[in-house]
Amino acid sequence: MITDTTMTALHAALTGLQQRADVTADNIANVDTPGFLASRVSFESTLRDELANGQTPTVTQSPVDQSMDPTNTNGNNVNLDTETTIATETGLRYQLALNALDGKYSLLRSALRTS
Amino acid sequence: MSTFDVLRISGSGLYANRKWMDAVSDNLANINTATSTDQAAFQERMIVVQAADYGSGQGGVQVAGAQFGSAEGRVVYEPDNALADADGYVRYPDIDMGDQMTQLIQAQRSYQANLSSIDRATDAYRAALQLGKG
Amino acid sequence: MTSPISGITSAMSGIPGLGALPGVGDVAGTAATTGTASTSGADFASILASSVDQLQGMHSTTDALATQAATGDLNDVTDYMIASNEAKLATDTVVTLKNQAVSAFTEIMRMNV
Repeated sequence: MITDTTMTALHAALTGLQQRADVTADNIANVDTPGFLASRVSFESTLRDELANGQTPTVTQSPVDQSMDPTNTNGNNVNLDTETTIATETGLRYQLALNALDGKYSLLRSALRTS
Repeated sequence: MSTFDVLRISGSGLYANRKWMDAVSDNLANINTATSTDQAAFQERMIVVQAADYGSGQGGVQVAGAQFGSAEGRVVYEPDNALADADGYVRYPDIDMGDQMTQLIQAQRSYQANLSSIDRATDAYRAALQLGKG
Repeated sequence: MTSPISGITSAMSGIPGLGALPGVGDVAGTAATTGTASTSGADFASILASSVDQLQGMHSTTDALATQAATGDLNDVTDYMIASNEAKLATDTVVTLKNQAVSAFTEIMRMNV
């Protein structure tokens, strides 16, 4: 009743970003594991398509792919610098989306005030 | 899968890196441990890690076991050593200090990366818990 | 002169998601007062009208920027922060004016004539 498309889009983004944070933590934990290929989460293109078509975005777990970056001698292709950058960016985007969602809630709440 | 997954995943990384540092410290401490030639030399300990639940992106890492280095070590001529055999030879472990120090630095760097993952995740989770309070 | 209260109600229903909420639509239930002659300078209704005109636009801008933030297409974070704070201040202004108008009206209705 109260939730509009923007709020659902933000919720979908938060779910995707949280999943990306999980996956990046897993990559960092496995930086020395032989044969381990880094995992990637991609939810932005799905979200963008849904919004462009005017559909309500779906809030769900996104598919996890393996990265095809070149591996080092023991078959591991996790690059610690890349993962750290992704993790920092994900954290900041998560805070931004939370901020945006909170802003929507507080707008509605302030409109409901009667004094 | 728990609510605060990143903490569990990064925690498993911390544990694996600590085990690695333990193994390296043990190797370095025993780098000059002599044994007599009829016994095995001190063997270098290397831990084996594998990804838990590989492919899901949410398993973390687990320590699958340990492998041991060469039992023959280096045979060194030291007739004054109390453990020397009839010909004056003693066994020393086949451990390279440079290699061990490199591993120690790598393990420490990975440990710190996992720690900062935990920091970042704690900030994010805390901010999520404040949603709607402002 | 249009009644300031009916002006506020139409602005309130323009904010997305608010139309169905109780307490907002009810303002229209009170009888519209006959307008009093304005004295001098800008009168209350036009001050109100100008501030609510932009409100719908600000909300749309904020929504569009929030959607961009969700898909990762936002080029500048400050764009979103400024737009959202502007919208919040404008909404607060309109709501405060509405509440003041309602309480002033109630006060007047309470007067013994």
